[in-house]
Amino acid sequence: MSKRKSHTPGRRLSLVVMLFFALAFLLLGARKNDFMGYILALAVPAMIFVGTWVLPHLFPTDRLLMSLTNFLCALGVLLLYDTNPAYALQQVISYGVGLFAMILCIYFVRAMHTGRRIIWLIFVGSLALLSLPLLLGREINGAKNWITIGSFSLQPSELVKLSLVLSLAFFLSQRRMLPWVVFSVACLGLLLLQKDLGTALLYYGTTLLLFWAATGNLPFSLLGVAGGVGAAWYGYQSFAHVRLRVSIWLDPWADYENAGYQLVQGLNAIASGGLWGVGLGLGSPTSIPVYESDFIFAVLCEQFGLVFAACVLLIYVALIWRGATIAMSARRRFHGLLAMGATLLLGLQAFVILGGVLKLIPLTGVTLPFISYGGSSLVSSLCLVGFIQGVESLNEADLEEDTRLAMLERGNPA
Amino acid sequence: MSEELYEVLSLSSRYLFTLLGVLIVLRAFFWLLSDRAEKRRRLKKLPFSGMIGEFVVLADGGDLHAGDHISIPWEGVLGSVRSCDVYVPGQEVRRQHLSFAFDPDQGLVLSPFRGCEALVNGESMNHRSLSLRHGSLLQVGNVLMRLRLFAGLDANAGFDAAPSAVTTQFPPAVSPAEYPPMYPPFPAQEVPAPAAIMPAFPAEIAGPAAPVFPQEGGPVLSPAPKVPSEPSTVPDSADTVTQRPPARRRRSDRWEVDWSE
Repeated sequence: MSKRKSHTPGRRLSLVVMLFFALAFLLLGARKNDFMGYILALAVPAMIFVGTWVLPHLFPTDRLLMSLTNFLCALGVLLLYDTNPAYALQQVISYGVGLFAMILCIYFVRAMHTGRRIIWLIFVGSLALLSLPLLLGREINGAKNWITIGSFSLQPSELVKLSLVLSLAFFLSQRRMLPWVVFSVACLGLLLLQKDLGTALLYYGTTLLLFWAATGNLPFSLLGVAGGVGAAWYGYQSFAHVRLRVSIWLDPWADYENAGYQLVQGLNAIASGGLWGVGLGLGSPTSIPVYESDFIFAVLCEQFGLVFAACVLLIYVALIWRGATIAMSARRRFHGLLAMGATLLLGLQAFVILGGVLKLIPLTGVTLPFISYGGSSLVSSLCLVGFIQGVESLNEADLEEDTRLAMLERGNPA
Repeated sequence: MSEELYEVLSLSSRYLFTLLGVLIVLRAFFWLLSDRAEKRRRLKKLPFSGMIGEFVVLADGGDLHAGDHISIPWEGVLGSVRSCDVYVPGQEVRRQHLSFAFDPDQGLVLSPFRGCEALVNGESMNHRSLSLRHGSLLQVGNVLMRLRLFAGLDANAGFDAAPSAVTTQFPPAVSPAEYPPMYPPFPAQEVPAPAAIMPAFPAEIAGPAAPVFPQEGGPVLSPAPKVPSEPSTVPDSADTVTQRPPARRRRSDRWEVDWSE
């Protein structure tokens, strides 16, 4: 009875999610008269079932995290299929790769306490990887943060995010200031040289928040905030494109045909969706520049409406809540900081892009985790979830050990 | 499918999709909260979950009294502020005095912070890391404590050792007048085996116990203290050393290991 009771919330959630995507893909498949739509109507629910119920039997994954992550990933595939089916197929492939990488990350976290020397390898390798775009990279949308090898493109800063979280967690848990300060400053410097200011903001914010979580040192943390504000002011004074972004944020309609076009189109799409949306497959989401990546949330609002968009935001909240709970239940400092760092990074990334799309803060070029088109982004987000799940698997193992010891104690003869 | 038909279907289904979205959110939060409640129920049955043992205060010091128990997590910081993992509000105890981490092979490894000092079994740490085993003494500031590891976490026997159903007896509490506030620095001595530290149950119990803590210039620990008579907890003879004490047990007595064997 207790086993059935503990699985009931998960079963019902999975059924509703599978029903949602089956209906949505069937509708789109019927509209496009495309066989791929019908395949996805079967494949995506099957993928959700496997991810939520089969994988946890084979690997130490957390069902709730898998459910929430699968929902967001499948939602990304749905929106991309609606706008550009080729993107949807690539996203599905990236999801498969990301799942495999996630499982590797789970086992990596479980083995980490025995291989601490690897952190120095990660430290050096990450800085080398992050330097590659400066040497081999190509500039896209004003930032030189991509490297292309044949038909394969990679954004190293997305992968170095994982190293950042690992390094911060490791050195903060050892109470060693210098290594993580050096690593963070080096990463920020390289990102500024690449003009990838959005990712630099993410790195800085995650470092600061994790430092505060690890030490509780409010004066230094506030000093860090002041430093960030100072750096932002300096960036505003020094870089023209920063001034442009701020002016667009303040009044996008002043130059809506050129610089403010993207933001205006996004806001129009959100407004035209209203509470319930214009309907899946209707509307004109492709009129928004970079709709598949930065402005995927505007597409979501247009198609499904603000009520559904609020539900998606709440899913992100649930994901962050779960991650934070897992971090606070960790027995060891390193594991707690690792889970907290991964959670903070995902939450901060979601906040930065959603804030930009909704005109709460100036727009930055980061992706919405799990939903935006982009193999590097999806794989790195799934790897971060892998870190959180790795820590949760250790928490469960510790709890079971405590139960075993207590049962042994009760079983001892008087 | 014609455009008109699709438009009707799509416009009708948007309410269904919104409803499903709301259901998904409600189910997700319900699962989150029920999982949390389940975990709390499990932890209620394991009051010492996450802890590896406890420090037993042997003498009054600071705001602590003899007999106080301080639970020890797997790793953390010991200091005189409440945010520390092990809170020791004693005199000359710094806000963050030392860090500790449990290792199944080495025991409780202590690392003092800069400028902080402590004594382990009477030996000064001298700004280096030292390990505590079950029964070891630790003095931080004017607080003297003994480490008690929970059963199954016996550092000598390995992590998977099954607990044995025996109790330990610590030397009785000593009043501050019988020992100086801070031990003088003793020359480094070989730490006696736990069996020498922990007294065997005496065949006879007579009179009040003599203090067992180091006097100036004296040995680190007296090997055979006399234990005061406590009929409810002290066995009558050495033959009954493996029996559980029959009387009321404190919560912290549940997991204990006899090191005298």
